[in-house]
Amino acid sequence: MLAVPLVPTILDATLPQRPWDPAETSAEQVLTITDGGNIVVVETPKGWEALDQGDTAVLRGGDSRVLVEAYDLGQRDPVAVAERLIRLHRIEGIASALDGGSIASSDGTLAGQTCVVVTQSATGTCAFLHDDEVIISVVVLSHPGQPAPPIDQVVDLITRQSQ
Amino acid sequence: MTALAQPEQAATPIRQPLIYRPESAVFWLYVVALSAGAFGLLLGYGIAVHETMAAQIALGPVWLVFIVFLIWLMYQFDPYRSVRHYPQVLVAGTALGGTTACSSALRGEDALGGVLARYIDPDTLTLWQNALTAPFIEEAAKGLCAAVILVLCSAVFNRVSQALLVGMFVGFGFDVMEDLTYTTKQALSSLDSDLSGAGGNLVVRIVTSIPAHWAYTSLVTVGILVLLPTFADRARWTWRRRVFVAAVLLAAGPFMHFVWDAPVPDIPMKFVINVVVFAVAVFLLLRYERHRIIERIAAERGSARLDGVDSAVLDSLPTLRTRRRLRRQARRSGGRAARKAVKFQQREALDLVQAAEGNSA
Repeated sequence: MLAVPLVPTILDATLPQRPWDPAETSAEQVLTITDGGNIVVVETPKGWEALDQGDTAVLRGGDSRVLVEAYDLGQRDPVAVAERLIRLHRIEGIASALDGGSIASSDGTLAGQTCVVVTQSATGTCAFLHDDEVIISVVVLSHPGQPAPPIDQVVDLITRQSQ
Repeated sequence: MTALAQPEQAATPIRQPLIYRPESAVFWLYVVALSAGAFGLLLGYGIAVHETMAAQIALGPVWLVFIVFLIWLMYQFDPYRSVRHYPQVLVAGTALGGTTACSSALRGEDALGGVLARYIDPDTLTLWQNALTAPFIEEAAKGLCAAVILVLCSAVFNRVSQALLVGMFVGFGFDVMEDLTYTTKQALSSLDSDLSGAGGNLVVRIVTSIPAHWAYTSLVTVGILVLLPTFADRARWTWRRRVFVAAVLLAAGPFMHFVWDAPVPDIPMKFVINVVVFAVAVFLLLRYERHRIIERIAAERGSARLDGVDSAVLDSLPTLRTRRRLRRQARRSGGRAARKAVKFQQREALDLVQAAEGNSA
């Protein structure tokens, strides 16, 4: 009975981790695709690494990590959706709160609100960006003493791609 | 028709404790497994369930109807009333399935998913992860819990039909708790509201509950029983027969589960395949039980134990159809009261025949 949870757990803990994709140039991209088929492109900065998890992209560089999640917005209110995502993140151990700021991507296609975030061991900034079809949660985390890249720089890495 | 059975002659179930047996190591294994499973679930999902409790309470009537319907449905697979006197065993199986099996399977699946993510492309894994983890991890977890119940209660739970029901209830407990975790996750991740996320998911789980965990685990549990030394017919089955039947049934449960979780074929075809596999297996298993009951009736007919039982009642026992036919005859000759009396006699006679076996085993 112990083997059912323990054998996979031990294998997961001991086998070599899945390799991250290092960005040799600044043009490496990760596509995150929502259930509805909307595509969000996340560019990996040079020297960073990326992990494609389907509808989620994780980037890491130095002590910093960037988590990008994309959802279909539909006809929903982006503010209400952002509040639900804040609660979901809190249950998952990432506590955040809107800080009253607003933000837009440099090409103007995505806009939204900024927030601050804290976990048990890291702090950072976050944002909820949206257009008419998708809402994107961006969380930037870093350890104390190792400042994370500013949220506006991270947001500029994210663009929408037509289906 | 002769009135049946004085009270002192009636089939009385074994009154010794079946679950609470502190003299048995298996009882303590049960206690530890149940506690660890409950603690694991609480640790993993307690906060999330608490967060969405209002939606679950609002869905309470739906949950209740779903649970009552499944219990009724599962009892339909016990036409010989082989477990009717021991509901505590089924409750114990449900509890173990809902805690230990659920907790260990969810943990094991997450970890196995992490292992597979190292070797399989993320988009492919998204499609196949459930099919590549759940049929093996979940059926192993539920099957082992069912084995604990079969060993703990081996004094009375040693027949094919009893294993079938134990497996169903272990799978049922697992299903309800898994549904609770799924609806909780969906409530949290719904972009609209807890109620729409949980409610939508619960409806899907109800619609797809036939056949589901209760069916998969019933076949696996019969497969486990025929390999156990406590199996009532062990002496009559050759080892080749036991191994063959066990292999087929131990594969059938995970196969049905795999068919359901795989991205292909489409939903109607999955449903057809699983219903056919389950129906064929249950038909063969209950046919075996019917032959067994017929043998028992033949062996016990005329014995002191069945002294007061009408021969026509005994003859009517093997199938639901023959039982109904006798009741119809009784209604035609004596009205509704006679029909009811025959129904009572049939139940008593079934219990007597099986109690005779239990006492002679």
